[in-house]
Amino acid sequence: MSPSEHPVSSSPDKNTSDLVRELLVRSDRPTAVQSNGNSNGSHPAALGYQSSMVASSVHVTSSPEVGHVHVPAGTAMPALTAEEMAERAKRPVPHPIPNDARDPEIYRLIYGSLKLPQNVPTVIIGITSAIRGEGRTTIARLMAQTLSKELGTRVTLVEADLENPTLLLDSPKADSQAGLVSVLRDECQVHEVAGRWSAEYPDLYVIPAGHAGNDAPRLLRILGKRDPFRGPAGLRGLVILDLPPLVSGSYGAVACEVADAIVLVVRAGVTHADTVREAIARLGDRPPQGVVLNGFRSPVPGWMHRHR
Amino acid sequence: MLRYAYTFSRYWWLLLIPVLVLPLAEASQVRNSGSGWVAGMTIYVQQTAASAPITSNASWLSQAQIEAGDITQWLQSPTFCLDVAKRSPLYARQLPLLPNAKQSVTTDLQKNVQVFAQGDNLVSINYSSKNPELAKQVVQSVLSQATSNMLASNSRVGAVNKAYYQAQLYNAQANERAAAQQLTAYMQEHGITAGNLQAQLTSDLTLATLYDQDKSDQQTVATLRQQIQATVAQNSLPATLVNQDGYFVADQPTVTYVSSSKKKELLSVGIALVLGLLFAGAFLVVMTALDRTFRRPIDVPLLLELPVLAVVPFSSTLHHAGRQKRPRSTHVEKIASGVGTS
Repeated sequence: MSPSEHPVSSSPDKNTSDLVRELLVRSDRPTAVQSNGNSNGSHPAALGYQSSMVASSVHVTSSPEVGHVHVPAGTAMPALTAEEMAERAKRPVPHPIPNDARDPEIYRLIYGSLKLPQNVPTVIIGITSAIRGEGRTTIARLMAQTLSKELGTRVTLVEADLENPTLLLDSPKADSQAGLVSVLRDECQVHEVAGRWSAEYPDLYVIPAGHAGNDAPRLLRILGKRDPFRGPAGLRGLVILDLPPLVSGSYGAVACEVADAIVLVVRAGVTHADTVREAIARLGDRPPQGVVLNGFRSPVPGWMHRHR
Repeated sequence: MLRYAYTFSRYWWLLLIPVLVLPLAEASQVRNSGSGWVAGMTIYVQQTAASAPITSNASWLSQAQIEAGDITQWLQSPTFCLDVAKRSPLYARQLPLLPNAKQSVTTDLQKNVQVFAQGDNLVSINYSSKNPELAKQVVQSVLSQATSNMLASNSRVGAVNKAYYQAQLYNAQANERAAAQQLTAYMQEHGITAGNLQAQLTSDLTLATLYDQDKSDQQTVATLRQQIQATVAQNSLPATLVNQDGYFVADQPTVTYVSSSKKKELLSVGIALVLGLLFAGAFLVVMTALDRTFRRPIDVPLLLELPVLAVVPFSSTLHHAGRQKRPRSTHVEKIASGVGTS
């Protein structure tokens, strides 16, 4: 295995600090896009952290280049092998657990733990869950906000839950068709519906779902078959897909096919283990690369936590 | 073990219910019923000639058990309980203050009056109250009200019995007259006189039959007359205890103060606390066994064979925000207001 084909974490003994170190190594690696100086459509290989951003919290040591796989442009990355999955399952669980759900370290960890393609203009991370209400959209939003500030590249948050869009919910123009729906209906290009989140996040863009109405299942099938995010008219940089739930909707798994890496959000103490297994089974031969346990409540009272 | 801690952290407020409610309820019960005044009265009852036919069907019970059973039965009647309260001056004074006097009095008497047999002939009537004088009055009221109720009841039964026996007597007298006429006619027809009647009875079968019929009817009439007299006599007896048995008050009502010991109170509360803890523990075990959700990060690789990428702590702010309105981007705001791409 060449150094560039190493998974993000090749050893089950790696802990949180090791993962963050690997992230830092990514940013140190020279890339074609970085040399072009195109910050808006930068290459995902540049989606690492600037050393200065986290150097204060983590001691950085030099290590060999790890984490990315060469994938032909325009295709999603192949699934992890069974050996890789077994190896990843042996990783220790992250510890200590942050006290705040908005802690950027959480989203750095998620990004750093994923095996993502290298040397491709667009990297797509799909955030999904088994059922609704597990915090999928919140985690996707917080992850996009965190990474857009730290990666130094364009990050696009795409609301792909066409059956239950929340970004345009309760708006007076809720019947507006602007968004991913318009792209899937070939009414416009994907970059036309992408807009900047706010001045606070200059590198963060958003594509709302739009109003799909009863057409949502058909459009989700189109999304799975025809990837609108890659290609010349597609997006550049990191794309975070807020995907529909896998068990609540039949086409959730189809939509997941466009993602290079799938992250499964599971709400602690709420989602049944069998439901999550069913969700994973629906993904077939492209299982999620890992699980984000959301809404964790420690049985130990907060005042007894001494680790921070 | 940690799974139990997670279950506890989720359901601790539910587990507190049996742990707190059971001891508190027991403490309240002990405090309310543990101490106070108890008035007690003992009466001696015995069977009399008047009551013998009535109680003969329940011969396997002692006289005291029958009387105690009767009074206890009367206490099930709200009207009886209200009458008892009205007979007690102190209780009667409180009646107008009660919202539902009949129900309240019934509940109170059924809870605080105890009637039980002691041996074959002694019946004890006890009543617990905070007021000793009231307790004494209620005990006396129970006895007197039971006596007057049974007297009224027996009077009604006696009137019915008397009417029944009188109707029977009327028929028996008619039969007796008919039989006497037949016998007289037969004797005149066959020239039988009173002097040779006894001699003819042995040889004349018809004469003997008519003679026996007449005697039998006379006997029936006599018996019915005696029963009517007995019924009248029974009804005219002075008011006595239930079933008109003979009785006298062996012990006049006396009042004693009863206080439960602190040790017993603490023991009761302690037992309730242990029971509450057992209930809570059983609930905890069952809920943990039934829980198939992911409580700990370590559950994920164990149950799914997938790594945990990150653990997001619970945030009530985000939890509620997720259910309501999410923060929007300026781009989405433009679309929502119709200014942006459409």
